Amino acid sequence: MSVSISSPARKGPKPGRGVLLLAGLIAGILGVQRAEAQPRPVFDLEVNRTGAERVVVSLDPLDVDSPVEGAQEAAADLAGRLLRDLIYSGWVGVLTPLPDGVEIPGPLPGAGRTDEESRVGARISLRLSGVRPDQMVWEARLVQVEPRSQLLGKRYVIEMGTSPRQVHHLADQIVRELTGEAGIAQTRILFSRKVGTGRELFLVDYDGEHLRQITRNGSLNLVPRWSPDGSRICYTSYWKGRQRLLVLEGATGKSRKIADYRGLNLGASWSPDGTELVVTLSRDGNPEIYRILPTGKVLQRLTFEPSIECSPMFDPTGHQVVFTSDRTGVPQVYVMDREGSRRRRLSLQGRYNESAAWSPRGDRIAFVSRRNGRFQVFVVAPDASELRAVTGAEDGNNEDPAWAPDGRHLVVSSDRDGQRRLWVLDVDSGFARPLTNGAVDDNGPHWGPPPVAPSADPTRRNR
Amino acid sequence: MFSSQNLRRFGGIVLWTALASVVVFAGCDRGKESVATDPTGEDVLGRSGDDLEDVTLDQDPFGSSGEQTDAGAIDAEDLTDSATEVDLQLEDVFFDYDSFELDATDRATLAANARALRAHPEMRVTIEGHCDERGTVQYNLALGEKRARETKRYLVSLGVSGGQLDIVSYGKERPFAVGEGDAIWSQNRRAHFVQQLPPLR
Repeated sequence: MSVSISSPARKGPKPGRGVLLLAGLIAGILGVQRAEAQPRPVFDLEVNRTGAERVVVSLDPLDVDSPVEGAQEAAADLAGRLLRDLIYSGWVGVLTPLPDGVEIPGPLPGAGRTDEESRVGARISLRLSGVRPDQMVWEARLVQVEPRSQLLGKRYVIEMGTSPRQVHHLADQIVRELTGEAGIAQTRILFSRKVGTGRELFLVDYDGEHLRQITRNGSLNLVPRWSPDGSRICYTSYWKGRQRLLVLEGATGKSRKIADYRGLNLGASWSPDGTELVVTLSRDGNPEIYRILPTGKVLQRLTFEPSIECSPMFDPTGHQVVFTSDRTGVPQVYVMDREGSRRRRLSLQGRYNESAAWSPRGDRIAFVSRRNGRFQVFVVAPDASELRAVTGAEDGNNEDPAWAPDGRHLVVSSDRDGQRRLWVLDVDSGFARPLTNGAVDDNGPHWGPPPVAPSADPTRRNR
Repeated sequence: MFSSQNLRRFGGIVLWTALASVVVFAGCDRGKESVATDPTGEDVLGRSGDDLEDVTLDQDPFGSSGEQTDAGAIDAEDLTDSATEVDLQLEDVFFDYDSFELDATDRATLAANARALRAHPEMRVTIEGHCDERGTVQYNLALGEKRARETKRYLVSLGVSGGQLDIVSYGKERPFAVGEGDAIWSQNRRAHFVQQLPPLR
């Protein structure tokens, strides 16, 4: 397995200071000021994406200053959750042993912790104070060890006894500060779960907490897909024995119909700017791929084959569409441009390749491939090179891959422990953890954007 | 690359703060810069709090409490098979793995179904396409569609009115039998006939 090692701090000014100064001016106008113009060291992990590169952090002894009963335990709980978020980013390792009372809730990767103090790149200092359990003050500082300087300081008001979102916010800030990578701790995953004879849509935080049901219509609700800004969800539902596409507005909690063409109304994928969808319809007599508006109006039919054409998804630029076709007699993954031309085949091995998902970074595509009678997840570069298995024979069946905004983690549905449930896979390190639990039947996951989605920007794709 | 990255990063912070309705503490506008520029770093862990940025999170658009009990509600409809006055006794047809071809047995079954449907032109029927659990959600939904459509096409070729026949695909989402092995799977690869309610008289 991989080993935790720290990366050398990079000194000197970063490019783009003019932009920073301009942004600082804007921030100042808005009454916010941060010392962003200071040249700051960054632990540059992008040079080597082996999955084993991690910035190692240590946690100082907790500082608790409160007469509130349980404050000490609450501080330890917050610290443990914060460290778990950092480890789950894939970019950060944690020095062990931890300060008294702090435990990191599992499951954790074997390589997420280290006991070598010499490798610590930054220290985290946490303080909990306050006299009211519902208004505790949580302060956090991130201090680089060498050269010694404060990288980040945050203060939050939190309610004790909850699993506050502020922990996830802080974790993302720390990951970004240390690595330049956008964290995923504030993201959520949307999926379809069997309920009675139907399926309903559910949401769960990226760490498996905060499960909630978001549809209750007793029908089959399938393959939900977030809009790029996270404000809307397009999904397939059945009504009066017909399939149709609905859009659920987050602001109102109401769904409206956008397409109920005769036959299939399936597999919507939003364009990166949220103005269009690619879908599978069979209104012209056969499953084919179309671009439509969010109103349901058909803009263009993209495929004209007598075979099955399905599972379309835009690339992060919106210029290309990856999809499945069985024009050769078996399903294979293809890429075409958004007008339907310049088609090329992406999956070159195997006789069942499906469910392609283009990474938000643009640099790789995950898909499902049947191997020896089981379904496994593979990744491949957009030029069909660098094919690599993410799951193997010992992992059961693995389907429905969907990328996290970081382009590093996948959520899949897998029956590896006997139940069809969701798992999160770190494609770079190989770490896998169950996302949902219990006797469930889950499928069709889709990973949502962070509250503000810098990593959804397709221009940031160079690695 | 770096400049756009930093701009976005800062844009994010501006947006976050703009969205935050309340900044609880004063003091955002002082302190941090002098602390950060201190070359010795001695004051870095000072307890004054001047080096801290207050953060208030904005509302989660999909709610964090899961209280949207009517979310996604559609008109209450009984989606289960309904009792009808005439039972046409339509038999299902079955398919090979990843196939929508009708074999001789299926054609014989559909010939009998066609006779019943022609005898009751007032009856409407939904043909459901189903698949076994092997394979992906979307491809199986498309395959189930092909099975239902091929079944309808053959019935129409035998003289049944296309207006009597609706089709829908359930893919692998509504299996008839649960488990592994071809004895189970073969039962789930089918076109299933469901009679609709007769029209009001």
